[in-house]
Amino acid sequence: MSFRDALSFAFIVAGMFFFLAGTLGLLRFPDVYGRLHALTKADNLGLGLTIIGLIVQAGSWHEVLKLLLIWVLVLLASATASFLIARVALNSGIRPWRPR
Amino acid sequence: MWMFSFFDSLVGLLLLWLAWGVLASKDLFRSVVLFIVFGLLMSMAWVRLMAPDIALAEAAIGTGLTGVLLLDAVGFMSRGSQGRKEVEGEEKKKKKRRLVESTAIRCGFVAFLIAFGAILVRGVMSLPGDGGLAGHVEANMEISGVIHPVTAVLLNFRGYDTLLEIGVLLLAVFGVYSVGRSQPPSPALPRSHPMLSGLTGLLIPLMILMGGYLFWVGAYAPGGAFQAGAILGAAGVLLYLNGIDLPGRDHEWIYRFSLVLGFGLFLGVAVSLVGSGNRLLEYPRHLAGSLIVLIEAALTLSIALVLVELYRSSSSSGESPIFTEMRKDE
Repeated sequence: MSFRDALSFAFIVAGMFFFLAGTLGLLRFPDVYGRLHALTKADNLGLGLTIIGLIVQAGSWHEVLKLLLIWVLVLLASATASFLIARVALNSGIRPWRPR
Repeated sequence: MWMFSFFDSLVGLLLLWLAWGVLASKDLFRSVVLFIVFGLLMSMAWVRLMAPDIALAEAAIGTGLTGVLLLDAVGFMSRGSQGRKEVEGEEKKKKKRRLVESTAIRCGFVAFLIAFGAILVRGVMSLPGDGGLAGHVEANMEISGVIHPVTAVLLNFRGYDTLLEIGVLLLAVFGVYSVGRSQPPSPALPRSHPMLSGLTGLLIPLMILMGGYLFWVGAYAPGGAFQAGAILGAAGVLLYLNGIDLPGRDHEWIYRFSLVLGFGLFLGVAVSLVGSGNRLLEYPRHLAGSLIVLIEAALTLSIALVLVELYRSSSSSGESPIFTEMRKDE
């Protein structure tokens, strides 16, 4: 395994960790706001680290740009979607969870 | 290699499991969410089968836009007239009688499934060996007018299929127009929010660029009218969600014309060439390339508009079903 492969491997495994954590949060957190919070971690850091791992393997600069563009677009879309979901949830009277 | 076969079997098993979940789930909302996940995994399976064209189409149309339409339908059903509860109440009354009936129906259904499965297996067994029809396609690529084999098959060798596909889409719009709650043009546009309109402002130029690129690249590489149309259609839906109507809504005929254009042009080209010694849907060799580009352009426009119209005319502007579900959890 070359240095390049090892670097990719490390980044992608780190990314998988955040996806796993995000999925766990999505399944286990008590309310919609908590679940959204968990999901954004997977989108931001999980995908980001995976993309960095793939960039290490990229053959040309425009592949790098495409990968970065994918990340930025997903960041924008997931941030907006999470905000909209949380806003409608608040407006329709779903209270944030509090420990009893 | 074992990793790949492990991954492939995992995807295959998950697909079967999800398909079962979609069909067996009592909750419609759950079914729809599982259906969307099913579509995403399905496009992954197409990628593994080295069919990026179908993967793109499946992700954009099969999962994205169909998912949105289905979610909307579930929202309408659970809100309007409390459809779900009534159905549940009636089901209890009929339960006894149904027990007897359902055994017979189930047996028949299972028999049907076995017969259908046998036909499918037979079909797979009787496929021509050694890469199927790939050899035939490769041998005839020269006369197809394009370089990408998938486009050659879809627009030239098997033009029938594509013609009928766009015909089905057109029929769907006719159906929605005929029974739709809101006749086109629908009166009320949804309200937007600065966050959403900000994102839309960023995405729309990119989507137009991507749609144009996918349409053009179809002659050389994975892409084409359906993928391009799906992305442009999604752009239209996004605009609609922002309360922005497509331009020229006052002139209804422009929209009706553009909806029919793809099917009409395709059929027109096919029929008009019959006179000059060609068979139906057979292009003269020197014109094939330009004709395919022309037809694809019309198809792109029509597919995009069909998808927007399907969403527009059937969308129940109002609360999304996700939140009625969330309240139920409380």
